Amino acid sequence: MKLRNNLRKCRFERDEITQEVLAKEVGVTRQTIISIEKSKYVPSALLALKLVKYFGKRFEEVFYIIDDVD
Amino acid sequence: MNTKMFIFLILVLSVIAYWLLPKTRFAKRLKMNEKLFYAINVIGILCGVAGLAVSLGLGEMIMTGHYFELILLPAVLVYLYSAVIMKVQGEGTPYDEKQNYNMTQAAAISLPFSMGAMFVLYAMYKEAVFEGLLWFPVYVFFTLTAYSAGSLFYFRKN
Repeated sequence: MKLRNNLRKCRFERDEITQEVLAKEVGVTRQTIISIEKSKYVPSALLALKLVKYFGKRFEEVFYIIDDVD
Repeated sequence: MNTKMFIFLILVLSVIAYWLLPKTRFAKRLKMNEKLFYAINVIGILCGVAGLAVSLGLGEMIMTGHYFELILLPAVLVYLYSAVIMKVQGEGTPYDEKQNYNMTQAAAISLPFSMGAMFVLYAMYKEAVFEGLLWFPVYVFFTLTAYSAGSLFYFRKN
């Protein structure tokens, strides 16, 4: 199973804020946001909750799990 | 001023800066960011590669002539600078969580690489290609290069 997210969509829904602005808001680097959006990096529970809180959404609206496809 | 004194002076000034900087008004400006993370690792790579080249070029003179300390100095200073940032932030690490993760990956990869380097060095000593203390700077600079390059690679890749 893999963790995926709607971070990019959330950013656009929230006045199209840039990755840089979002990174500053949650206290990480822009590269970290880029990697999370591409699902190349799985954020810690703390960072995931910070992101969810920033967008004012439920956890499942931002992050979701998909099954591995063979 | 000879090389030994110069290095000693720089290190003493750096330690003083480590204690004083967090207490000055510049403390607010001291923050870890992406550019600084790149800079730290690029300096690590440059010092490592330069150290390897000089070690292989000059042989044991790198130690007797104190070129070892001189080449390593910029890397020591940038790591000390990140220690100052850590002190100002008052947290366990000045890096963000992905940077920490990538540095762990780099450490994991530089361990087998440096062990491999030690095996090569051992073989070279056995065949009398190298002599004396040369293994030390070669090992230090090789590990520094592998670790810095690994950190940068994983940070960009993932």
